[in-house]
Amino acid sequence: MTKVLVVDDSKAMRMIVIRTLRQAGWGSLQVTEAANGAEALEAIRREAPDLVLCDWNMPEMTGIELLSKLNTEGPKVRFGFVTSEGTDSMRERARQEGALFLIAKPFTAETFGTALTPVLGAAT
Amino acid sequence: MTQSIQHDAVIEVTNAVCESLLGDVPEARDQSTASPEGISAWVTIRGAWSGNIEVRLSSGLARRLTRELMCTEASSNDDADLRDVVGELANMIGGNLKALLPEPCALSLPSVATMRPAATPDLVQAFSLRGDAFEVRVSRERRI
Repeated sequence: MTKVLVVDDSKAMRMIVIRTLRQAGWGSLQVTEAANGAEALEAIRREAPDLVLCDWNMPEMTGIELLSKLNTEGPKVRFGFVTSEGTDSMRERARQEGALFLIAKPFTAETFGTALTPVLGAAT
Repeated sequence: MTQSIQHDAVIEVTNAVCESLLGDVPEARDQSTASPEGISAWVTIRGAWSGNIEVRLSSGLARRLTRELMCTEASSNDDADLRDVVGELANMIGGNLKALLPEPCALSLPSVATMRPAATPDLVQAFSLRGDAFEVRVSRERRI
């Protein structure tokens, strides 16, 4: 089963992201959650997810700090941002660090479909 | 790139956030509507533009949003789920408005309180959502 880690310091946003994954057709994913980058790092090492969907601005460790740490220390994991900020400079920094996409909040199930299909394959 | 945040931008961003979260677009109202008493959530922006973006809403609306988004009943304004929901509302509206400002700017994590930030707002945009009033308030910090 495909495993996805949803990282956001807002419990409400984690619920919305998971609900949107289901609305986009990925209802059978194994989803785990983390509330910041530090928790996510532990979860990635423990769960080896197929994809990380990560907020940018979080306490403890931000999303971009997490991605940078993964790049230097591993493990390698497919990584995309879901964030309320989508400036050109942030998109460029995310791309330079190897993020596969940056989805700006607010989003729709169609937005998720467009960004995630190349990563997870077509939803059923 | 604009140096300030205008009413049209606040309305456009707030409508998009509410439609995405709630499936409903609020009605923009004039400023004569009485300010809602209840709870405030805000984010602070620091950089080429510095100030606060605040969302102020009634306790009743905050509880309704919490019920709809998290399927939980909040008993008070101190409820963790309620504070999470209104904080994320401010984060999304503030984050999208920040994208309209000159770079570089940094966005804070949201703060939530019954008391409000002391600054006098430069812009107040009132909305009505299913009969409940809420406001988005923009306060620019001026450095002498």
